[in-house]
Amino acid sequence: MASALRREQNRTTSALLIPALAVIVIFTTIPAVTTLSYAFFGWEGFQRNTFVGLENFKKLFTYPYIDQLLAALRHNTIAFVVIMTFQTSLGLLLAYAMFRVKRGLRLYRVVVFLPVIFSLVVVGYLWQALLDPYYGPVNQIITGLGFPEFAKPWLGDTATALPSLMFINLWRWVGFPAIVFLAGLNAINTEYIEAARIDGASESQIFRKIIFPLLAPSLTIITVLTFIGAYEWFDLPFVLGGSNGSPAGATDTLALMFYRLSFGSIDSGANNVGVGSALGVLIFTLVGLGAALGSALLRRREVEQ
Amino acid sequence: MIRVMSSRVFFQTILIINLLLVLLPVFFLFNSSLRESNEFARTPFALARDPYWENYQRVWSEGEFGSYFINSFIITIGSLILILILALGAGFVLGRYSFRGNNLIFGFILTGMLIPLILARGIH
Repeated sequence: MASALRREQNRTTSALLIPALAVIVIFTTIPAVTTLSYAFFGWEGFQRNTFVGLENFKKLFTYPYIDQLLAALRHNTIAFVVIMTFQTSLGLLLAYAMFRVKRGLRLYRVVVFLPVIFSLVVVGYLWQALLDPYYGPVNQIITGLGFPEFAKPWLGDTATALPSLMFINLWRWVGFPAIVFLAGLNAINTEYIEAARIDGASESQIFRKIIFPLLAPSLTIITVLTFIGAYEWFDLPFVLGGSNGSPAGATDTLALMFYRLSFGSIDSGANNVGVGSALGVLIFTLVGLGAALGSALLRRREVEQ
Repeated sequence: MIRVMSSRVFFQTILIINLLLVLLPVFFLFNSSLRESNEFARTPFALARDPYWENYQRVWSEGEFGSYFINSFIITIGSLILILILALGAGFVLGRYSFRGNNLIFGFILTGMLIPLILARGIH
């Protein structure tokens, strides 16, 4: 009897699992592994030549690629630190505000999440228009307030391009951590908060000693996703700065460099699939190890409710 | 009680500021969509008092909005159906049945989500 049930279960298992696994293997695993294998071959355009071992990696770590690589890595790291700091804390602030506010909660919840569902390309062009040095409302407001020296070509200046991109990223993405944190806040047993309040704990004490530690699982998810997103940052820099990270490579990222090397671009000329794939291996290792290590470390700090 | 009230006002203010920061750019986009190009270049801030609906007409005729919309629609519906069938089945089996390799397969699916998408998009 039991073995018949067992066999039935095994049949269901394979029938339901194999199609899903097949799709993952065909559309993710095989392409990814193939791309990784390209790193070990010499290339002429899109024509694969002989096996060259670690030659492509050596090239990646010498002039001229190493300069681009280090600059891109720096931009990704800045993006991770800044986005993690500002976007996450603003998201937490918005979540806590929604948690505490009674009136208008439904409206705020929609508005906070609204930019996340916008098309990123539309958001990119919208902010390009808003930040335009000639007719952009942002500069007109700054000038109108009496600070014409702060009216800058935000996306055209090497000093302000990356900060502007991070700001646009924040505007679009801040709703995501906010909603995750709000879900985490709503999952907290209110008895803890009430008990602390009866014991005379202040609002800030309740937040620091009870609410924030219990939000650790949400913070883990957000940190890991922000890490992955920051080191694979591609779409917004591509929409606003093109594949060369203009102006003058100030918004270049690892993913843009990978794209440029693999497919070539108008300015940087012909592609080099081998070096591009070597960079792909590097990004994959960095993001994979970082995400695995980060989530393991952060999960250890979580507390049970 | 007063402190609870004032913190509520503080949070309400933050959410209203956020509301303005989100909706004003969206309003600017909508307002600009109802104005003529050269008029917009002259006074980007002005309200579209006399809505210029032809922009929407041109998106349909010159921009071929319709055929792009159908493309997106096919992709959305197609992937939604596939995802529902495949993920529902796999999720049910992984969650409900215990069999050898269960955790391994779950881990494999999770690592698939860690792979940079550009790698999978690849050079093909």
